[in-house]
Amino acid sequence: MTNQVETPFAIDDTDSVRLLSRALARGGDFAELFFEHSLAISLHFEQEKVRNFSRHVDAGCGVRVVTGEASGYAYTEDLEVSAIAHACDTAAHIASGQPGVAPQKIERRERPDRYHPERCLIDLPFLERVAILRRADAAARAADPRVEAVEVSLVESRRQIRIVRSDGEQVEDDQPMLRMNVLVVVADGEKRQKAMEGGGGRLGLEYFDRHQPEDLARRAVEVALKMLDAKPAPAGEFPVVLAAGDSGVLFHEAVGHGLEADFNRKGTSNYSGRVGELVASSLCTVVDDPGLDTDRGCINVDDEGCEPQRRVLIRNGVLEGYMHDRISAKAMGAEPGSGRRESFRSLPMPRMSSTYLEAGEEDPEEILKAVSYGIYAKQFSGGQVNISNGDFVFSTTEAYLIENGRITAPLQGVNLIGNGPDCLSKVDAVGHDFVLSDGRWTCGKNGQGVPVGIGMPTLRISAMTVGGSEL
Amino acid sequence: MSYDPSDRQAHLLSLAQGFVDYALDRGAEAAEVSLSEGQEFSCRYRAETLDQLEQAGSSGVGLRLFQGGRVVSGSSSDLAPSTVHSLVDDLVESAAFLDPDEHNQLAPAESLYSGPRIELGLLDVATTLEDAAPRLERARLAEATVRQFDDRITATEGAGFSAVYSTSVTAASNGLQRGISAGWQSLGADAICDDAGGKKRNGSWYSVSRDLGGLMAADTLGAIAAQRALARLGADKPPTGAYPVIWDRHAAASLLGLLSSILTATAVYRKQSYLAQRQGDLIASDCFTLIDDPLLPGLLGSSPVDGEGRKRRQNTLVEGGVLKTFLAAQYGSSRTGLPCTASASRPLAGTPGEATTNLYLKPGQRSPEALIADVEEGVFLEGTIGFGFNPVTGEFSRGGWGRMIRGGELAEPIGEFTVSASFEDILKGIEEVADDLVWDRRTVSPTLRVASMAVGGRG
Repeated sequence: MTNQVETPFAIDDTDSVRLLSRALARGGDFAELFFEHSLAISLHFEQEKVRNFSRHVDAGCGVRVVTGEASGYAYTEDLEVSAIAHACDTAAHIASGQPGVAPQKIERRERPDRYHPERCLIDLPFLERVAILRRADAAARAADPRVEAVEVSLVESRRQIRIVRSDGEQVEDDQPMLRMNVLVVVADGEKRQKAMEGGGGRLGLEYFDRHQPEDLARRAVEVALKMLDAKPAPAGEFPVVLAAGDSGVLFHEAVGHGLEADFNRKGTSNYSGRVGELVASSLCTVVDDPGLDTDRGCINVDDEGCEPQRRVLIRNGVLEGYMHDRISAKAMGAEPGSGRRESFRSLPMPRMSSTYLEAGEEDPEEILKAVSYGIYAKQFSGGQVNISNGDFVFSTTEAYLIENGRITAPLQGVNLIGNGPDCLSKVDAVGHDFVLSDGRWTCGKNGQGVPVGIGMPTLRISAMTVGGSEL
Repeated sequence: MSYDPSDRQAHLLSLAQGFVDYALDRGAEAAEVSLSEGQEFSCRYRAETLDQLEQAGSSGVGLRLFQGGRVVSGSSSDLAPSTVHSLVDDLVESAAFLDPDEHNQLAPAESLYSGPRIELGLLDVATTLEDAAPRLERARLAEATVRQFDDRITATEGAGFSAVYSTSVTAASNGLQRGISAGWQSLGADAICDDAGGKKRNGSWYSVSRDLGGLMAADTLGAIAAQRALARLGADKPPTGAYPVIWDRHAAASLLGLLSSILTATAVYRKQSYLAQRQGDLIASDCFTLIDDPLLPGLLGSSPVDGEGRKRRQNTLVEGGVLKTFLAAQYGSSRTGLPCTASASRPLAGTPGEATTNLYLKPGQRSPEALIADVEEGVFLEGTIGFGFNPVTGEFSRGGWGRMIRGGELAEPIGEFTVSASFEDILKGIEEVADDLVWDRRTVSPTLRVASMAVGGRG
């Protein structure tokens, strides 16, 4: 545990107390001030040139007043006390009663310390970054003469936040993020294909001490070339084996969103009211864990100033609980800690951090061997879920046919569709080869994007609908 | 509070010009500065109570600086001169690390529109003055209508109303002085009912309009949301097979959106379009004519001048199945040699790319019912989920939901299935486009029928 970091917010405790009393002037159970200052830089390398550099500064304060399950919200990009006071008056309109309880004084809260970027943002010369981009580009081009286009981008950001709450607690965090991306297009006669590789996490350029930009580039070329000869996937229900790592998007969509407690306090999720029920095969234990140091989904404090909680969502197939923000935690008698928001412009809501399936006991080779005809899926462009009926999809960018227990022909991009509890009841093998995805996923909900982590071991689903075009 | 758009535009333009001058003074060879400001109001009712109320004003500045063919860009939410000046200083210093790229140019001065103001009815000032009370009432009524519609409706995410209006300006050293004020409001509701096996079924509807008169009445909208949820009760997977697929007008519009995203110069130079180099080819069936028309008054995508200051114009992307036009802004046009189509879409910071405005598929002669009546057994597709589209190969595979068509009529609801085909086969397999074009979104399409697609479901 550590103390506070230095943040750029010039509001002192006296101002904070005054502002919070103003927000609660018409009543309300609680209020909070969410200060944010974020800086992002991005470098874009395309067709052998560093073609763009950009720098973005975003700062402001969001004010929320909560009464029961209702929220009043306002924000300002002007960090002067008078502008924040105006936002407090606006947010206060959700309530209409006697003034609520404002804090007497502000206390700093301790928090964990899960990321300490060494070489971050502006402290470093550009040449080091440009060299990383050039290395990736050169490696991709050297890998094969069929490489037709290469794009490499590097985005680094630093998000400083301070949350001051009407219970008198104040907590700050300084959240770094790095994301590298390589996109290649290969061409062979009339045939073309693309592939993307990426990685990153809550760290600085020291990411490249352990990850070679060349490896990302070569891997992208390798996948694009394999998929150049992809044939149409079959359509219909087949056994599906998902590779360890990025396939964790399955649990993010099939389970994760449906267990965000805002849907459950409103009774709109197909998992509503089902705690204690078997909702997956007994081989499945699914965890949401904000404490994986430097992972993309890792946080020291949530965006409501609560301590992030490691939550076992499903244990041996049984639903244990939901992910809560302060409103749902109060309404449902649980611990908050999963309240996140894209920025000071948005209301927080229950969100995932790093969500994964725990390792099982089987040998991944054996999991494959048992399939006479099916699909092996390794990489994905994304997924989506309908919370209410539980139908979810995810789209492959790297997939193969399994024939007689062996991986054979590469398959064209295919959509896999399933229904949460139904699909997860068909998980019939879980490998011992757990892999955490290397920091490339962003989750969208109600128009707000937040970085998340995913991971899982090799896994088999006995039957899932595969959206191929081959009948 | 009154809002005078021309007054705000003049104020922001003078600020922007000041930043352009500062950047030139600091050594930039050319500079472009955009400023935007907006007001938003949103409210949501759930379980007969006001659940969310939000109100805020926001602003931002974006800049692009040019030096020896190098371009650097930046943005800031703080418009204070000291902040913007220090951003300019940082950016000017960083330019040296980039590679020169001769395509980085502002639009030539002679291409900028300098005629009289083109009025397209993008901001209904009356809506910006509306009190909170009628806005809250719309959301309340929509939610109440959903709840009271049928006993089988058991929950709702609520119903929400929002109103947004904004002014954005761009000034640049090529003489560009552009200002646009626009606004819209939207009302949406959703409904959820319980089905067998613990499943829930949801339905939703929303209406969006630039003027208050164009917004759907709250009770009508609530009833539609409720009916759409009820219509999903008992949905099951269809048997796997090849079926004729009728895309309803919203599903079909999503298809047009995907197609237009690869009919851009940016997609061409990034090698991200399977249709690159195919201008003049037959890429779709002869009933397929796709048009982007920014100059239709009062619509959601309407705009008189593009992001780089050129006068907008109608562009026919595909005519009678023949690929006619790739949308191109300055950079993409210079990079690919494709002619500029005045389709520049401006991010707050960065090089403008291309975007459609009011994109539509030319309607046919017959009703959607007539198209359905011709199908003995098929799928009526009401929506897709997922991201399964590869622009490089044109492979399309997504999740879907809708109804079966049996004996020429809509039959049982279906879901949890996939629809797949190559885009080439989908576009060339469009047998007929119906007559039901409704301008309720930016991208609109009539219902259309595709001869055959692979549907993955049961078995």
